[in-house]
Amino acid sequence: MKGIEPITILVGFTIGILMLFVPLLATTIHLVQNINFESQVNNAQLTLLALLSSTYQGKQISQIIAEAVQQNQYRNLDEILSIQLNKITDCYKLSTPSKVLAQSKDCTPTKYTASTLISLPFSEGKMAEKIILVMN
Amino acid sequence: MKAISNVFMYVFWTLLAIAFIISLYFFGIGGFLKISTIFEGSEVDRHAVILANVLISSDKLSYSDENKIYRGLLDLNKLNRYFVSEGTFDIHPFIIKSNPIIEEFSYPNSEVYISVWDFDAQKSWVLAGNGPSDGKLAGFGSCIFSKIKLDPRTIFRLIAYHGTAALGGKGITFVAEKVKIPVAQSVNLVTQYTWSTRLLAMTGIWDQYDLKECENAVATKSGTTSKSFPVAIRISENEIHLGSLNIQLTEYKL
Repeated sequence: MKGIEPITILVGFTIGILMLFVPLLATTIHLVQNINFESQVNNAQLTLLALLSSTYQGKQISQIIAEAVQQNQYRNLDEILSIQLNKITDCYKLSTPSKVLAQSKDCTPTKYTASTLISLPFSEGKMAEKIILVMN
Repeated sequence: MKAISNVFMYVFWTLLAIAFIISLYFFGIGGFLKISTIFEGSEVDRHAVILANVLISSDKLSYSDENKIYRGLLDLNKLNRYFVSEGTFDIHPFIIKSNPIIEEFSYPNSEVYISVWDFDAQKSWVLAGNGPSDGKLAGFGSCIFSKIKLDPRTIFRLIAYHGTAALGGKGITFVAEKVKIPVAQSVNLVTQYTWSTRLLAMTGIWDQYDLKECENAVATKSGTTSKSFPVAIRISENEIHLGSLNIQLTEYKL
């Protein structure tokens, strides 16, 4: 034992034990994070699906968006989409690749993204538009 | 000098012994419990997510035509057929009973409580039941009914807490009205007790320790989780409401 302080051995021993548990802790945290992430992405997809399927004053939301996009007329669209989205989520941003259609106030979502294509049946140009929903 | 050296050696060996005991705990039962707890907790979460996705993709609940099933678009008629709606709550949710939906889609040794909310019409539907088991979960019912307390003190407590509706033949209606509370809570909260326990506790006929005793006598709870999923509800061809499907799943080790 000469030359090595007991406290040095003790500290070394303790650090050694702690190091053994770092990978274990990292693995379990990773597992839980993955499950939460997949669950939330799934929810973002369901939210987009439910929103586009739902109706506002007898008209389907996907149809309202499609008409606005192909006519390039976005009056009241933000309001209608916000009314619908506020029922199911607090933090959202709904957009096409070129325009933001609706966004929650006081919150910028970044975490979970879902997207789908909606048809533009009477458009002279492209036949479909990509709709992207970002949620927190 | 020798005495000081001895003190240091005692301290060293004591600390080493403590470190050894702690390491034994972590390497042995402690490490095992830590892994099991987190992993199995996640397993219940995964099961709840999977079960909800199966339900909203199933022909039993979702709207379907001849060609396809519309995932996430629940059919009002099917909800009314398989679920108990808010307006018609009766004694049924009180009893763990078989239901075609639960019989077809459920995990073994589990209790499941499903509620569907229509945000536009402010309506809700509930469904509760247990997955296949070897009959031990059903033993919970007989255990709890053997512990009914109908002494004057309990009856007084019932009246004091819940008003005179508990008397005069309106007991069932009274219980039904109270069912709304756990439905609302289940949206975001992971509650301490299962749906059946919470329903039973609200009546005041049982004490909390009786409920706990029966739970422990039947099985060990391996985890409870509560999750909410956005869905659309098809009311008619031109009317589709936004809503959510909430699922509370409790799994047991028998």
